[in-house]
Amino acid sequence: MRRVAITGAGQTVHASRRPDVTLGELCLEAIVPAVGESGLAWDEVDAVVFGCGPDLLQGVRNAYLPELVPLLGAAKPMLRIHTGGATGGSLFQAGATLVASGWARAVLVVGAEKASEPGDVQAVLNTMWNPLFEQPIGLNAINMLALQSVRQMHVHGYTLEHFAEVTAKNRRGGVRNPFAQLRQEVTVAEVLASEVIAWPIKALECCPRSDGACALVLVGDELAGRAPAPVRLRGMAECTDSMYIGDRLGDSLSEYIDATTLRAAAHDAYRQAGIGSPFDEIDVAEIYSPFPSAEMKACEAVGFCERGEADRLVETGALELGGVLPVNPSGGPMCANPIGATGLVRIAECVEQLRGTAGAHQVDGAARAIATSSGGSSQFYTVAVFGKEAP
Amino acid sequence: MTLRPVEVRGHLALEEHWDLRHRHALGRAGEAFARGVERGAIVAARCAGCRRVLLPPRVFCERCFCDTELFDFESREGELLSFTVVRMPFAGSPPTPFGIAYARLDGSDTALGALVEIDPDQADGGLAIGTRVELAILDSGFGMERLRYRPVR
Repeated sequence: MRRVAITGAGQTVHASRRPDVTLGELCLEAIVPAVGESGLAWDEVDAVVFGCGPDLLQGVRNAYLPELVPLLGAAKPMLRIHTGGATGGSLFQAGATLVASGWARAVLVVGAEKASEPGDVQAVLNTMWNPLFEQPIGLNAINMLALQSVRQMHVHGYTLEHFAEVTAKNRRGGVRNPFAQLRQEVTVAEVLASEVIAWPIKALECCPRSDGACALVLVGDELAGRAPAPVRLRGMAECTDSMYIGDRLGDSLSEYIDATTLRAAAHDAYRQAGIGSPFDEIDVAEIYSPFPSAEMKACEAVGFCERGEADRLVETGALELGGVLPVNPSGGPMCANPIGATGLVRIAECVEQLRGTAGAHQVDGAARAIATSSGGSSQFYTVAVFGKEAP
Repeated sequence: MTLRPVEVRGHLALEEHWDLRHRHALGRAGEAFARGVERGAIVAARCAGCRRVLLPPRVFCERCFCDTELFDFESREGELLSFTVVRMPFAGSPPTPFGIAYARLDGSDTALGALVEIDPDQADGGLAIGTRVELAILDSGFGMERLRYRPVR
C-alpha cells in the first residue's frame, strides 16, 4: 500500500442556516481553499468522493449532481457515500484507499449538509430506522443517544454533572474556534437547568442543526511535496455493528455503551500506527460526539481510559485544552454538526493541529492526532490516526 | 409535488411539499411478526446454529451465517435494560411525553424495543434499569403500536 498525505483542507464557517447558497455552492467554499492549499491544478485531481446525509434531509434528489459533477466529476470517477453521521469518516477512508492502492494519485473528498432545509430534522432521521420495528417507537438521533446515556449512568455511575461538564468544556472550545456555529460559553448550572428533551439529555447538551461543508485533498508521496506541510496518515480502520440496538444491550460480544466496534477499529488503527499507549502517545483527539455521553463512550473505546472510567478524565480536566489529552479543542460536533461533513471536519481539525495553525484552540506541540466518526444507531465507526512525519 | 417561492431571511427560496406513497415490504420475518401480533402472539426467531432467540425476528443469524426458524415466543416478562422519556415531539412521533424501553424477555437473547408506560410527572418516568417489566399486547393499533411494556408491580 502506498503512503497517503493530506495536502489541502477547507471547511466553511458552520451556521444554523445558509439560505444564500445551494449545497453545491456551500461545498465550493470548502473545496476551493482545499485544492488551493494542495498546490495541485484542478485537472490533477483524479477522482471525487462526495457524501451527505439522506436525500430526504436535503429534500433535493441527488443534491450534488447539478453543480459538482460538471465542475469536478466530468470525465472523472465520482463516488457518493452515506453512512449517517459516520459519512465524513467513511469518505476519508474511501478516498485514502483510492490513493493507497495506487488507483489514484490525488483524490478530492467532500462532505456537506444543509440541515436547515427540512422542516423537521428529527422526523427525517426517524425514517432512517426500520419502518416496522423501530420507527413506530419514536427513535430519532436524540432519543437513540438518550437510551445510551441512561445505561451509562446505571452501569458506569456517570452523572448528569459529568455530561454537563463535557458540554461546558466543548462550548468553551466553540468560543475559540472561528468555524464553530455555537460560540457562546455555557455553565454547568445552565446545562443542568435547561429543558429535558429526552431523559437524561437536556436542550443545551444537543448538538445544533447545521449547514456546512468540508473538503480534503488526499495524495500519494509524489504529490505530497507540492504543499508546504503535508499531514501523514498513520493508520485507519472502519468497523460496523449489528443493526438493532437491542442486540447490543447486555450482550457479551457487543455492548451499546462500550462501542465495541469503535474499540476494534481503534485497535486496528493503532496497530498500523505503532501506538501502544494511546493516552500517552496521542496529543489531540477530535471525537465524533454530538452529545456528551457519546464523547465519554468514545474516550473509553479509543483507549484513553478503561471501560467505565471516562468520568475520571472529566473530573481531572484531562480532556480540556491545556489538559493531558485535549479532546475536541475545536468544540467538536456539539458546536457544529453538518452531518455529512462532521467526520471530515474532525480530520480537517487534526490537520490544522498538526500544522500548528489551529489558532486559539491550538494544542501546543501536537505531533500525533486521532479523528473518529460514528453513524447509524451507533453502528458505523471510523478511526484515523495522523502524524507530521511519514510512517 | 408543489413548489412555491418564499422568503427566508431576505433570500428567495422554493418551498416544497412532498406527497409520495411508499409501500414498504415487511419481509418474511417482519410479516410473520406483524401477523402474529394480530392474533395476540409474539413471533421470535431461533438460530439453527447457536440457538439464540432473536427479537425482533430475522431470517438469518449474523453470527452463525445460517437460517433461523420463526416460532411463537411465550415469555411476556423480562428485565429492563435501557429506557428514555421523550419530551420533545417530532412530526409523526407518538404523543409526548412517551417512553421508549428496551427489555430482554426471559428466554430471549436480545432486547426488544417498544413503547413503555411511564409516570409523566417524573423526569425518568419512574423507570429503572434492572427492574422487571411485562409486555402487553393492546387491542388497537398495528404492529409495534400495540405492544407496551409495563413495570411489574
